Amino acid sequence: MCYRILICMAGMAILSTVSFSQQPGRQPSVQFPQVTQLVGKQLPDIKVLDSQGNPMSTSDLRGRHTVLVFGCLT
Amino acid sequence: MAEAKRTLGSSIEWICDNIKNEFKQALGGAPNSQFVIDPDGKIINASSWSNPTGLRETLAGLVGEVSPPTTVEELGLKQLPPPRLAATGVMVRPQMPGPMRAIVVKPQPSLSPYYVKLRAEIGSGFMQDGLGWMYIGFHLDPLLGVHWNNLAPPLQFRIKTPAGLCVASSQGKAPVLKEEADADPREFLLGLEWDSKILSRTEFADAELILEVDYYACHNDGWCRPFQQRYHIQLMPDRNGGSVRSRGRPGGGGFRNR
Repeated sequence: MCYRILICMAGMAILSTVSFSQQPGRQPSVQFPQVTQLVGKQLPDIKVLDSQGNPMSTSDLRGRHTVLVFGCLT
Repeated sequence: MAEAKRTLGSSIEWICDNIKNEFKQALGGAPNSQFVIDPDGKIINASSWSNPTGLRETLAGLVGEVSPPTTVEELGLKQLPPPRLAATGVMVRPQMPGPMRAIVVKPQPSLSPYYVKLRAEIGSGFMQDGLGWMYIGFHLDPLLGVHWNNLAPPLQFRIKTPAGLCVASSQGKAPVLKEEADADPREFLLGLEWDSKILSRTEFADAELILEVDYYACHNDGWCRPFQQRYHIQLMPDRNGGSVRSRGRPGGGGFRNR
C-alpha cells in the first residue's frame, strides 16, 4: 500500500509575523473539537498550490492513502 | 516554500494553502492538525494536534505493524537553520497589559518583498470598553535572511485612523541601538479609543487603520536598502492569528499557536 505524507503550510503563514517553529508536544491553549468530528467525511475540494507553486486541487490527493499534517514556519 | 523545505531538510511532499487559508479552515482551523485520508478521499483519522505515536498506531491498523520502524535519525534530514549574522536579545520587549488577541492585518501591494511582517493585536476587552491597547510588532521574516541596519535611521511608522477611532500616538520611532545590526522585533503599545457615537458598531467591522512603515533592511548577502510598506488594519479578530506565549523576555521570539 502506498502512502504519501504531506505537510500543508497555511498560506498566510508565509506572510505572517512572528518567528515560530512547530514544537512537538506543545499543545495549543485553544481546543479544536471540530477537527475530530471530520472523521468519516469527505476531504473538501479546495484549490491550493503544490511545492513548485503550481495550482492543484485537494481532490488530486485521491487514489492512495495520504497523511496530511498542517503547520507553519514563520 | 522551497526555503522552508531547505531549512527543515524535508524531502516529503508539501502543499501550500491558498491565501485565504481555506484548506486549513475547511479542516477545522487547527494550526498543527493531522489527518489520514483514504484513497476515496474520506477522512479516516483526525487529530487536532499532530501526534506521531497515534499516527503510527493508525497506520499500523491500516497496513499492519512494521518491524523495525524507521526512525527520524535514519531519515538523515539535513536541517540548515537560516543564517543569523545579526544580534538578538538586545531590544527590550514590551510587557502586555493584559490578554491580547490578533487582529486582521492586510499588507498592501508592494513591489518589494515584505521583509518585515506586521503583527497587530488589541486588548481582549476593547470591543466592550471602547478603550484599550493596540500592539503592533514589526518582525523580520526569518526565511528572507535580513536584519536591521542600525547605522541608518531607525524604523518609523505612521497610522491614520477613521473618524471615531483615536490612537494615542499616530506615529512612532524605534529606539536607537548601539549594535550595528540586530534581528529583534520592533514593537509598540499604543493607546486606542473608540467613540461608538461617531463610528457605529456596524461601521466598526469595516473600519480600517492605515499604517505606513519605513525601515532599512540589510540582507545577509550584503545589500542594504530602505523600504516603505503599507498595511491596512481591521480591529476584528484574525482567526488565523493564533496566540503568543512567553513574550516579553529579552530576545524571546514568543511562541505562537496558529
